[in-house]
Amino acid sequence: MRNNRLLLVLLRISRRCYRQSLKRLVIFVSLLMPLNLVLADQHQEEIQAWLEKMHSAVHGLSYEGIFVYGQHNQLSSMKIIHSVDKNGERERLISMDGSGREVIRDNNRVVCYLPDRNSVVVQKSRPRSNFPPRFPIDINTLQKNYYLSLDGKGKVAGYISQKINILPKDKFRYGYHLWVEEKTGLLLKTHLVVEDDIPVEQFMFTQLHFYDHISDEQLKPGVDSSQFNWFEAPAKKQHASSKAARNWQVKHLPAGFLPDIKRMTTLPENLMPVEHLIFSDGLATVSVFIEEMMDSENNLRGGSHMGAVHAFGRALDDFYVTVIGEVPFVTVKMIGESVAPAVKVSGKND
Amino acid sequence: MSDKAKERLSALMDDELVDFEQDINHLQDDDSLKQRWMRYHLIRDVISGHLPDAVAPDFDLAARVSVALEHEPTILAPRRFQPRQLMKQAAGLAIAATVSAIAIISIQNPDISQTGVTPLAAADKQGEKVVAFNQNPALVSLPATNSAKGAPLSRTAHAHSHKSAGNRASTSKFSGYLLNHNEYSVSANMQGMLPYMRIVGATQNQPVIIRIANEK
Repeated sequence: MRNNRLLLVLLRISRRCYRQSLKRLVIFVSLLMPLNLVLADQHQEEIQAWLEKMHSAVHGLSYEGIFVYGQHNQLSSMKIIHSVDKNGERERLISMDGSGREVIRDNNRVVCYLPDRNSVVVQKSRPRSNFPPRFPIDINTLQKNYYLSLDGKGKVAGYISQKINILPKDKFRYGYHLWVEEKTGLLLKTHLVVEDDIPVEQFMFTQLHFYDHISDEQLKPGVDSSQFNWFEAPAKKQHASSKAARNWQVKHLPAGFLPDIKRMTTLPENLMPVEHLIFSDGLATVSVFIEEMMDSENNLRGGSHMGAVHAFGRALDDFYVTVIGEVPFVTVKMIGESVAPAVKVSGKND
Repeated sequence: MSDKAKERLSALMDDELVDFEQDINHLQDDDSLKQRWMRYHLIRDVISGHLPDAVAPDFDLAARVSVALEHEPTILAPRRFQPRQLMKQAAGLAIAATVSAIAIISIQNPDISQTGVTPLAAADKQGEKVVAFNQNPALVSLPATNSAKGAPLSRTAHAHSHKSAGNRASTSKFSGYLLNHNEYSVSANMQGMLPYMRIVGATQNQPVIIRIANEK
């Protein structure tokens, strides 16, 4: 009995000590907090300004540069030429090692030259001259799903750049470390990371020059594609066939992902009409493609990935669903598994 | 008018909407929307130089803007002390104090914070497995099984070939989706054509698409 009482007293004392040390810790932390919050508030405006600067730089400057692209343990080197003049925005991306692949893009179309496959794939580009000129990244939206911070300055490809961290609050999206050129705002380097800050994909300029004018010659493909197979989707707008015009819904979206637009498109290689639903959390984008099941052989069944882009595919009645996006696999899987036909509204359709 | 409505209007103008019936109805009913629709068209016409000369003879918008900018006087004014900034900081302090108070409460009640954490930690173990898989370079960088020249791109590395034998991911189809996705991705607005580096960066002996072996 006595021993027991002693034990109880001891326990009470130790608990008190514990509480006191906790209190001290709390006071210490709470003293630090206000400073943090005020700083954070001032940073928000600065970060928004950087993001806007970055957006206008990537579309508004003429430049030529060489960069490396790495994913997992593979590295490749590429050249980018970007031109803005009275013809609008034109850009060319060229592989510097191996495949000789090239992508040339203007306001009308995206052309992929794939010499390793003897083919050229053409797709209509999304006009970037949308009105009103919308700036897609709104810091208030981003803050719901990401922690944003400025992280000092560094040098990339000889240019001083500001580092910006955009880190995810959950596992459904990647984090971004961005290095943005101080004067122009051009994105010079990125690390795409998963939750624990482990990079899954990296990109970095090693050489970069800005120009007033870029000649048309530099924007022409460097490969002779006359003998290649051309795959081109018709320019005419596709309308959903009565069967495909079913309403689809995604039942489970990870927090923060909202439906953007819905469109009909055609895949260049098999000319199939495909319904394309787009979801975004303000930074990461996920596409859901739904088509009538035709060539089941070629469908992307289950999970796969290309660099940081993950895909998930599954059959759904007579349709095939493919989800693709620069997001972790959990996200495409969750969305892919929850696609279902919407409950039919009576009186609509036959 | 919500930003959403404006965005849909803009998308409608670019012929990007599938389900635009309702937008047309809104447009018919809403006068401010109607006016906006007209303004968008006017802006587009002005910028692309489609206005007839009768409406705007020699209307070179870009030139006029740059002339106007050149004549704009440079204002050199010292930065003034802004009382609003101070208010903002004070508000920040107030919020911080509240947060600290909440922190004290939750730390003193370890039970509350623990129950708050448990469901999060156990949220989705499947997902963690996939991430772990991705981080293992040995698993994801398997060389292509077929790198014969001229063969149609079958650089589909089979992480678990016995499972995915009849399950080959088609590179061409992936690229087709990726092209469409890139064009409509938000990050394309921030990174320009950089997302295409995933297509261009593929070299002869590299797997392009890697399967994730997690099928049940």
